[in-house]
Amino acid sequence: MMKLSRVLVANRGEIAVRIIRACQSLGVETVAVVSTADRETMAAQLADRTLCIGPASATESYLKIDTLVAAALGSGCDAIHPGYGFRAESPELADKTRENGLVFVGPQGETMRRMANKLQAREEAKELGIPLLPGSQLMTVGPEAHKVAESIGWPLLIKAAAGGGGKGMKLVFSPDQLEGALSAAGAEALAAFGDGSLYLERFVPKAHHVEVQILGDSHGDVVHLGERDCSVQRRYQKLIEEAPATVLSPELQSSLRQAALVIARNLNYESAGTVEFLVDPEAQKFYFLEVNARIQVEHPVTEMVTGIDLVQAQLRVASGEPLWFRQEDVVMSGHAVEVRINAEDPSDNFRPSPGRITQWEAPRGEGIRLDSHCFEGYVVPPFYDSMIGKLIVSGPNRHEALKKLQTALDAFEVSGITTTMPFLNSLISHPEFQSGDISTSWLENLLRAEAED
Amino acid sequence: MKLTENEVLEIISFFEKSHFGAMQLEVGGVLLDLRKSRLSEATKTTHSFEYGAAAQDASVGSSQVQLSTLNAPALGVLRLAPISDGPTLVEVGSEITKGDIVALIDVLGTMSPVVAEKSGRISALLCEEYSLVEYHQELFELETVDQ
Repeated sequence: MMKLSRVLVANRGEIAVRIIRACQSLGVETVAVVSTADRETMAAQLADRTLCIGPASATESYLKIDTLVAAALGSGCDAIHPGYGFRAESPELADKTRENGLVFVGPQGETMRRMANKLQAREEAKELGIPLLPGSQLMTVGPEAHKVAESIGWPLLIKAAAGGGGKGMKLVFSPDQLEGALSAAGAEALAAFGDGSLYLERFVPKAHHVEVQILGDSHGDVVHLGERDCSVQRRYQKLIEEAPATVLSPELQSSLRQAALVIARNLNYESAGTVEFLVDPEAQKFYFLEVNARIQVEHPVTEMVTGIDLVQAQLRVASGEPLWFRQEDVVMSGHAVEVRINAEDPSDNFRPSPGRITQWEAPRGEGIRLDSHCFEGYVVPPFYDSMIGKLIVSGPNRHEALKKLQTALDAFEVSGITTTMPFLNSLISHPEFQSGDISTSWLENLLRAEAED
Repeated sequence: MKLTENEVLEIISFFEKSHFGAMQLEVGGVLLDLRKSRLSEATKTTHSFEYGAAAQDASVGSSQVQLSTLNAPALGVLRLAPISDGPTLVEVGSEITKGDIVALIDVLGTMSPVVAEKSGRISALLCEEYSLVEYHQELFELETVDQ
């Protein structure tokens, strides 16, 4: 029984559309909030009501916590869904929403606080006996840094304690690069998060990024919905994601899922979330990275293989409903792959390519899903991220899914803006990607090699 | 296609010099409704609110009454009085001076002032008190007299 009646969608782009559609399926009304640049968006057209919350600049609109809560209260909403990005992982928004008697569709503020500091998250995982990469405590520039770095071994990664999205992250190959990289990473982290604290972690060159989807209710029950392999990354941003992760042996898969559940239970995790790991396929080992306390961009691949609608599930558990299925009821079948399509020009160092879409003919077919807010005539504004959609396909196995994805990308006709579709298609066709023999460094290495040619 | 502020001013200026008494023009969702009144010689310009105060500066001749709007600086609840049930800052008919605070926008208890961008007379209240108003929503109609 859905107890929510009206939800404020505190986001934009494809995820705003995704949340509105999930609400519609559950018979819940929606209020979209938009900046002046987003008045004509699909979310504004689909929502029952649209409120303009500020100018184009996100800091003056989508990031204003008080305005979001005031918009929800003033428009008679009983809940706020934050989507991903913007204020999705802001404990302040979660707390303020709840303090004002509204439902926050996401985890508790306390959970976000504990996981936002990556060092604390590491510490908690360590206490639970979850494997971690050799790493350091808080790091500063100085002789101590060298000593610690030597004990971890080269190459190593500098990471921001408050981190996310690759900001403040630096790969260091040798001692002479350490000090410069620490200063640069510290400055970057300070600018991005207002917190320049850093830590070091061993870098595994042939690693896969594998994450486990978790879903918890407000009654202490939590399940996992399998894992995703998101190893194709550029500047620590994921480009291609798939489920399941074929790199895992059945034993490793089982341990990874159990580790994710241990972490989730320890957090009394509510709503949808992700526990990220690094997997070393050669050593058949995994290491905890972090917890993402939100719905993720790549959630559709999990939906495609489990048949569970994660955004609807978020809304249902947020309304207080206990989980309506048990772990053993979660059945995964087939293989799903998602590509993030951006309005960028890969031949010009991925320069953003905003502008009017003059043609938008999306592929259709069984097992083909497009999550997008774009349409013919829509102007991709220059103010926000450049993602224009996610193309997701599923098939009985990875080979079939990839074949279908290639066909779908070929059939997708977009004009007026430059997109990353041809580039994505070339990656999917690459023999190394086809064989699954890739790592988190694969794409960067490939691009570097191409640039040198 | 959208009109720029300068284009609007140019159209008004052409209209003013013409021998026509009224003119309506719709371009890209913007409606310009211009009239020369024999009695007051007022030129009224109305336009869609994306323009905000675009036509406020459009002057036609001397001593002419113009209508413009005062818009919300933020999304929030419109408060006309600083204290609940207290006297309102302005009412219809109030003469205001540029810089006056004419209303408040309540965002979870934090008040953003609605500041008059020009002097004039409040001729209409366009929103209900205590209602939720959007960013840039028109709150008051303002009559200004240009010398």
